[in-house]
Amino acid sequence: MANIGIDLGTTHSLVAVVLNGKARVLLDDDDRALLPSAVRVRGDGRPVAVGWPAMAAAAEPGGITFTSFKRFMGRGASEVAEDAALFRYPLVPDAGGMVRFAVGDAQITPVELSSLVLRLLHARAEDCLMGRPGGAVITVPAWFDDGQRQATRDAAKVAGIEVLRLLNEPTAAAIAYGLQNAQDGRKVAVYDLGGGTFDVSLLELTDGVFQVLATAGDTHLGGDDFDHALAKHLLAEAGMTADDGLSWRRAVTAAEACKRALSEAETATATLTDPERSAEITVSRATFEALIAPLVRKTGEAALRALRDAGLSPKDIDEVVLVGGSTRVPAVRAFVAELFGRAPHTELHPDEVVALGAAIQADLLSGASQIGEDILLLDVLPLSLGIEVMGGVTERILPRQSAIPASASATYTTHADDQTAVDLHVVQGERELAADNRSLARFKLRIPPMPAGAPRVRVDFVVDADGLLSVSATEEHTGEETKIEVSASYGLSDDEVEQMLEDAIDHAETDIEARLLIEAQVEGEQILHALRSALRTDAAMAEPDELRDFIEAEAALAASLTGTDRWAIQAAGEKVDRLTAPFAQRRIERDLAVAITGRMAGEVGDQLGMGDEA
Amino acid sequence: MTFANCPACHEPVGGPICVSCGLLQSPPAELDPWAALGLPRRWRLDPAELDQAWKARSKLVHPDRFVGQAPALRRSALAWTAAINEARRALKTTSGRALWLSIGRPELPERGGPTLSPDFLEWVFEQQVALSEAPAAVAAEVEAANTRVMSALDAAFAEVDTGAPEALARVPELIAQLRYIDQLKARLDAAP
Repeated sequence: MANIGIDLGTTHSLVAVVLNGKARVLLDDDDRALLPSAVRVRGDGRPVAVGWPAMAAAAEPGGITFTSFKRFMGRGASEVAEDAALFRYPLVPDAGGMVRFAVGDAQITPVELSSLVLRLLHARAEDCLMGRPGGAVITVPAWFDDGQRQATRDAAKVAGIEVLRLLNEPTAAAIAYGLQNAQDGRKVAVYDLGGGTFDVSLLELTDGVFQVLATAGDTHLGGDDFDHALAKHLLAEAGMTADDGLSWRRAVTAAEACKRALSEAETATATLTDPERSAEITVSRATFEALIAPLVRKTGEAALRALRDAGLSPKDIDEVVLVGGSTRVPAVRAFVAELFGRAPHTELHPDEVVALGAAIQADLLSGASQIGEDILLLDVLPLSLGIEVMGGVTERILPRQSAIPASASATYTTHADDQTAVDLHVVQGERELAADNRSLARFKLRIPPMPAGAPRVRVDFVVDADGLLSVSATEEHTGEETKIEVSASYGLSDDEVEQMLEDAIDHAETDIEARLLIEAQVEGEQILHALRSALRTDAAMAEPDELRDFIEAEAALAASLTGTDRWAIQAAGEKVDRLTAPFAQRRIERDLAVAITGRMAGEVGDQLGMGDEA
Repeated sequence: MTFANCPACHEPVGGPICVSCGLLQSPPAELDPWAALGLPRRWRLDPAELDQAWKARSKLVHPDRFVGQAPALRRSALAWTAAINEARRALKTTSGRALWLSIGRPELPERGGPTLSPDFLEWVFEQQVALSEAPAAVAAEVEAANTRVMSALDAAFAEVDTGAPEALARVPELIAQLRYIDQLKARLDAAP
């Protein structure tokens, strides 16, 4: 019953485990380690596909493919309005508390979406390990506040996963490189450039204690921005425009492949197509680097900000660790090396580093570690915890950077005679005004009426090893007590979590059926699209009888796609395939002949005896 | 401050873990920071010694060491770790240690704290006025004041050690002075 480590990422997620003393990531049936953090939700609010099939269905009508939902975890609607607009996710208006996405008349939460990704990773681990895994260590950004951590825990609970520990992502990366064994006072910079987010964290490692000295970053900067910059360049070079979402997406896909190739080679070629023609654009590494230079420079600004916050200069950094697929770009590596004046660690796969570190920590927590080192990871509170006092001011109870677990208390009294209740507002953040900080919970403590100043209300804060807070308040004269696990403002109530668990079990079967339908729809659309574009360019190569059959089959397929009968869709698609096989063969022969002789298509068609008189 | 006997084997225990049977104990209700960390009750404390004691004890009592064990043990682990983390915070600073020994808490009370002599307050005022014109002279003054307060603290605690606990009563005023001295230092550092 091995414990597993899960990297629940913004764009991709992974699962890893320690086997025979070595951490390794687990692969899916197609040997892929990465699982896109994407969920396809049908128009009626039912999630129908997770991961790659959800991505494949992204451009399809009849639902929404959610990605980047980690950005919305444990947050309130007002905090994420900008992101929601950016990703075009409709929010349930005025839901109060946590974010809910509207899908048709139904709604779904980021916690549920995350739980589906976690469930799939857990199932992968179950397949690979041939048995149910033990508990899991799940990674979170170092700057995640209490609400965001609580939401991550809730997602695991909904997925039926026992969480051993939430672990900070940069800490996990450092563990993957074994840096916890470094000598006292070593300082590590973790440079994490993912698909859509950039984080830089500075850690100090002393004898098994990891302390986050500072973090900085840009929540909207990553490899996707590289792709977009390159896609714009490719389109401009080809003299093409991307007027609709689909052609833009195709250009971005071509750009992404080109970017990857440029990490290995000095030049790479991308093929762009539009309905009229296709164009091959060759890009040199230098050109690409010039395109992304402003983006890369932005990461440097954030890194310097973190150094300044920590009171360090680049030369104080002893180790640099790279995380995230975008750090494979040679220009990024060179930039980081120059910034810190030392070569970064690149021995491990940057996509996998965080998951590997989580797996090592999970193994250590098993009590029967195969790695067996006597290390202990001690974390600190990322943001101060406090209480709103008179005048809306924040009084800090536990300052940021306090080692956790931690406890602290403070005593308050009343300001009016005969108050029968005290309102307590728990906040997290560094701002002086409570309203500027993150509201974690509000609760009421009933007290017997007493003159102003007489009651003694003691508020106790306890933060556990995951950084999760529980608060209790006691009136010391009467012993009246109120206790809460903080998650109220943006988390899920226990009832909601229960309901989600039940829903998930109830609908397991319909979920599979729905996913099969989506897959059939995606395939049907592809066949339809291929037929239509072939007819647009080469209708002249079909005989009149053939053409009539094609048009009939096309109409039947299009009709089936408006319904939800996946067998009908498959049958219609197969019919199109069968009818058009000879026609497709002729087109392939024609294209081959063009390639061999290099002559114009029209001439070749005539010579091969195809076309009107054939 | 004493530890109760181990509830399992009834032997006396000197720390978080019973030396006889290895059981993690629940922490005593009133645990002073020195006892929490297993350090001798001294006001002078080398930061490295503090950190070392803290790490050693963390390794024994951290909740990560009790994953999957009985809830009562996990609660004790959480309480112990929180206590040693708080103890480390309290003992990190000179003033925290001195105040704890003298008034039983690491901070001066918000109200009803020691009153400072008019002479001292006037001296602070003069330094603040001179700060922008003669920072070097102020720095020398502040450094001398710091040395004076630290030796006075040393002297007070030396008297306590030789059986004169009434010397502890002098500590809060010295710490209140130290707070002003630290503020002046911070302003000197912040000046261009």
